[in-house]
Amino acid sequence: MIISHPLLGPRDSAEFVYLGDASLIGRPHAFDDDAMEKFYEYQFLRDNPDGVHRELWYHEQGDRSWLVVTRDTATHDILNVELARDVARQSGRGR
Amino acid sequence: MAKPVLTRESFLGGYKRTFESAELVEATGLSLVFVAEPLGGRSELERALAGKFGLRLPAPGASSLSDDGKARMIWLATGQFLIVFESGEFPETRRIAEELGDSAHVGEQTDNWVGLRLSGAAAEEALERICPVNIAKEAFPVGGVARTAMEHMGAIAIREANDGFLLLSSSSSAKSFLHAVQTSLENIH
Amino acid sequence: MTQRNRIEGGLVDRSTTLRFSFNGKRMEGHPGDTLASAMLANGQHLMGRSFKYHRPRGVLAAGPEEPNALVTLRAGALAEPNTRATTTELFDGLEAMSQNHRLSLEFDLMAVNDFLSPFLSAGFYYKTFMWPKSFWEKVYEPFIRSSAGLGALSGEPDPDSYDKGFIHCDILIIGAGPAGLAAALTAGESGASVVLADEDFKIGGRLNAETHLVDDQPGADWAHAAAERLEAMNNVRVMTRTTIYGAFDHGIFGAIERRTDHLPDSGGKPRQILWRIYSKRSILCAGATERPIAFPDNDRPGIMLAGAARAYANRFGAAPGNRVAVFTCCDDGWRTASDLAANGIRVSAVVDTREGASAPSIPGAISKLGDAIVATRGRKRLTSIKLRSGGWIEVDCLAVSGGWNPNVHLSCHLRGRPTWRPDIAAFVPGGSIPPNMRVAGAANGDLKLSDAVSGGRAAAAEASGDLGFRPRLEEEIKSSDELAGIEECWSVRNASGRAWVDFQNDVTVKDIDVSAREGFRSSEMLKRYTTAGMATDQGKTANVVALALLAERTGKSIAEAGTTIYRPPYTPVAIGALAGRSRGKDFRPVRLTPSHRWAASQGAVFIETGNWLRAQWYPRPGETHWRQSVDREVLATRRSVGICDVTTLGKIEIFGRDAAEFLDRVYANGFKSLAIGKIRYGLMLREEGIVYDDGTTARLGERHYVMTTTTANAVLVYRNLEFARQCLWPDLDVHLISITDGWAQFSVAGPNSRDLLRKVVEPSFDLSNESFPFMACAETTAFGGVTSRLFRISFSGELAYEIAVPARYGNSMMDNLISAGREFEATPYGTEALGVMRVEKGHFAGNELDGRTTARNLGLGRMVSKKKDCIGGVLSERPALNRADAAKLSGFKPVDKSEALTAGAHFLSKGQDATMDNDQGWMSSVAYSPTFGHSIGLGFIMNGGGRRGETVRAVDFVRGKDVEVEIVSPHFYDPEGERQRG
Repeated sequence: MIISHPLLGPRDSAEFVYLGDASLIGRPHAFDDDAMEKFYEYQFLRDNPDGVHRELWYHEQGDRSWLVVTRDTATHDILNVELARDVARQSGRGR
Repeated sequence: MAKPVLTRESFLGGYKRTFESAELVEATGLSLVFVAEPLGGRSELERALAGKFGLRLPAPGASSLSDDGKARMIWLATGQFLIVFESGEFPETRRIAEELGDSAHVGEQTDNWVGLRLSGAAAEEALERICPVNIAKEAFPVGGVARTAMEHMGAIAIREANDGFLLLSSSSSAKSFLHAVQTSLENIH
Repeated sequence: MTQRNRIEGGLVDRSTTLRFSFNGKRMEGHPGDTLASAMLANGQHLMGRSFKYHRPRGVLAAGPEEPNALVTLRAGALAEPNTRATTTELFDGLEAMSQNHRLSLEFDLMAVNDFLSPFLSAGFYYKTFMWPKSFWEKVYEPFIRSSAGLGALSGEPDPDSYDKGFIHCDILIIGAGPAGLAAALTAGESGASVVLADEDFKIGGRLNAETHLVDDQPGADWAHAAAERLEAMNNVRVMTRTTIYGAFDHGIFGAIERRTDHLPDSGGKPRQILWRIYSKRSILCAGATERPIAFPDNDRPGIMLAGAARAYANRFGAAPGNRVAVFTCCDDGWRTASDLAANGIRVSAVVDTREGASAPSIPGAISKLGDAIVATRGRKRLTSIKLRSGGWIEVDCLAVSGGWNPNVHLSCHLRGRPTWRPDIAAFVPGGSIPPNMRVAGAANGDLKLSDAVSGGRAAAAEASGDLGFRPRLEEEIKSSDELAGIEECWSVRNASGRAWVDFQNDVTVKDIDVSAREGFRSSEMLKRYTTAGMATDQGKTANVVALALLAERTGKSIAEAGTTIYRPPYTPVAIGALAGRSRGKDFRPVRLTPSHRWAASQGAVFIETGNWLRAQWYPRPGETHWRQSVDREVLATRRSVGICDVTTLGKIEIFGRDAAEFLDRVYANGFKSLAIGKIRYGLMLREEGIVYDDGTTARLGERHYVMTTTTANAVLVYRNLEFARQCLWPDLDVHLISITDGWAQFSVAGPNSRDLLRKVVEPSFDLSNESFPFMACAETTAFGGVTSRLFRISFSGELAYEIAVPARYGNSMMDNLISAGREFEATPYGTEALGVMRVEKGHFAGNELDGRTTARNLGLGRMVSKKKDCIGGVLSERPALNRADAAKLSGFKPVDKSEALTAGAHFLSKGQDATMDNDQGWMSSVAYSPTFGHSIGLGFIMNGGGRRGETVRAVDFVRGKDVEVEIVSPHFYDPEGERQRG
């Protein structure tokens, strides 16, 4: 596969390490009343779609950036690639 | 201060070998300085680098030369750069850190890397055996920087000239890295 | 004259004679020959034995689809079995041996199988070898093993080398026949970067085997000129002897380039190169493969595909026979008849299954329309054929054409399915072909030359246009045209005798009948049950025939029956090529510690830890057992001072205004209060609350920290820190950079470590306990001005330091420390002694951090701060991880001190049965402690903290041990830590 890195252009997926669902960016707050339940869902419950999936890839043999890759798991079509940092900020994550 | 009693040994013993249409040489005198941009401090860093060292921040996948041409600043990652120069020809890490102060995070990287200079007409053809990134001239002009893996080793390729590359890789696997490049040169033609 | 079947013409260079041998028989050929064409020129039709029945076989094809003519090439360690004679380029001195026979090719003892064929029909594996059960191991398996397989491996290491490489291009064109060449010229002239790859050694594809005209010149001449034009374009790379074997995602193709296979020896260069080709567009111009017709005894040497017969005559100047008949169901068969006749070869008959075929007149041949061949004779070479209309005709060669199958393979590697085109009775690339691929020429079902050429040009014009290049299409390429009519004919009906469908696997029409009758009615089932389409040729000539017959028998249309899935590789790829350079010691990179050269000079024994080579121990003269060395190193360190290269620990520099906050979140314990010049031990959890790494982090400046990780997890920790930095808290000012290789870092441990360091560290630096206490750090100089970092940390439990200098000084630092420490008998120690001392001290390591242990299990539950958010903090509080009786890290010592403990033993209360129900924990690390003089162990046992002094059993079924052990504190050595603080 080839992942089109937003900054560096097309790179072989062999340069990357796969993590999983991009929902891992949405880490819950530790001091919420239902933190245990939320962390349980965050850590252990994942969708496994046959189709479009947003997932985290790490450019380990490259610029060490984490990317959010939107990929069709049935065809391997890659529909979008974003810097995970940007996605995190857009979703309200900061400090 | 007393004279150091320790011997500084190059990782590859100052390797140098000429191949058909190519030369491969260990770059023994390089200094490498890590510079990172504090969050939100890009313009301040740019000003400080330009004012104090004549350096400009390079774009992703690229490098820039200092005004005096003595140092090359390469893009490592978002907000992270490496200044590469021949030791003694440019201010060293400590001075860069002092001069940049709070406008940058600065670290010493020199001995983390082994450097190989590969030059000659056959350089590209040799790299084709180990470098997955397109380093053809049109896609990778002089100044281009590619951080990738070669033979399972992390590596940075920098096109310093039309037919000249500087290759950087982890110093602990210097011998394996040399072997990879050397084998490529032996295998072509 | 050896080449008795050599005829005029063709593309072989008669001015040079190449000598070769087949089964020791000396023969001659010319440059431009394949092994198969040269053997035919020498009158050698019998080339092999079939897989199952050991039937004598000759060459069927003239290309990579060949099922029969498989030979073992070269000798000794260089021997390569199952090489297709039809694609082997002849070279001087070539040695080939036939395969799959006992005794000799001419007289094969295993040919008895041919008479046993009633017992060896479809599914015989599953039926025949079932009973009696006791026969399996002693009779059946050895029998199957000795008779299975075609050629045999040499059993010796492959002396050749292989390489890999990466090619980037705008447009990859697969196949350099008429369509591929037309495409390459168009794409090349547009300015796009083009790779044109062809598996053959000669550019031109079928043009080299045909008598077509292109631009008013013979097709082969036109192809040659086109190749020269392409070679002259800087933006075009022409790769001959290169098979594109697989299509992968996003325009990536696998290619195998045979660099030296056509040479007598490789001259030390890689024999083959496995390329990964990255293309933006691809054009598949892979041509078509002819298929046979199944009729009784259609497998005799001398029976071959019609297109192959004319390739041998037209391209190779080798007569496929002296009296030839043609059997066809399509117009293309007639071309063979006319071409052979034009080459002066006697054509006795043309038999066409079609009543209304338009039959050109072939001089000297009888034409039989609406007829078929129902029997053949001749065991080792065809002697005669029998027509349905009656009568035997004496021939020594029968050219058969059942039509042409487009080579759709690469269009299907991403799970595309080809679609059936009734007008050409063949599958063509279907709707779902790989993105950005176009198919042109015969591969696309355009079987006429003019269509192939225009299709190639059009595909290239579109592909280059897509990429913003401007194709120039002004000059037309003129080409002759031909008839391509066909009426399906898969097998000759109502004829008795075995009719072969898959020659390589000996699958006959009857086997397909059996498969359908026994319920194996889908194409994939048919393949597994009958083996049709398996082995080296993957059914290139057989598959479509087999599934057409299956469709007939199951009452489906061919389109409904469908093909099996196409998978890479298109043709076999040597495992050596897939391995590339990754063989032996080059399997993976080796990382050397800074003191490696010194350690090697001391005769150290090295151990691989990941990619690192580390000194395991340093034997001294007279030491004959590793324990002697390790015990000595431990005792010397505890008594005076030892030195160990610990550079391999991961070192990560952390910069930033928010570095403290960041550390506080990635470590379970607090880091905000760490002062400059101090070090803190840190525990790292995975988000689910399990401990995965530990180490120390030193604060070197206001915004500057250096973290150490375990050797094994250096990469993982770095990755996780980047995740935290970029994905979880993107607005913290934190930067990371690895510095593992940058510093040579040695542990200097033992009561005399301070005195030793005083001799080397900058004299003004105060090493006293007061100004540089336990867990202090500093940047200073040592050895007369060398930049150094000093850390007062201890893994051994002794007064200890780690000193770091830039890596290039590392080898010299070891030498200097040992010299400076001579008065203290400073002793280098390796990883074994390091391990013994950490067990004595009760430090956990990788054995304990096995992915299941919590901080609580390790006795560090209180370290997980509940006052702050840290990774793993919340889920570490899950009730199941916090049971009161949770296993706790404990020490164990044998009641009988002479007993050796074993890691992996499970703990049981005395008197309990050794069952999992009674399991109370496990021993994770053991060592012989020279300090205490007996074996000691660390392990996890339920309720461990409250059971000190209790005696339990440590049961190890793997090693057959059952030892009584006493539960003690894990800190065997200096439990109060006075020594390391001293």
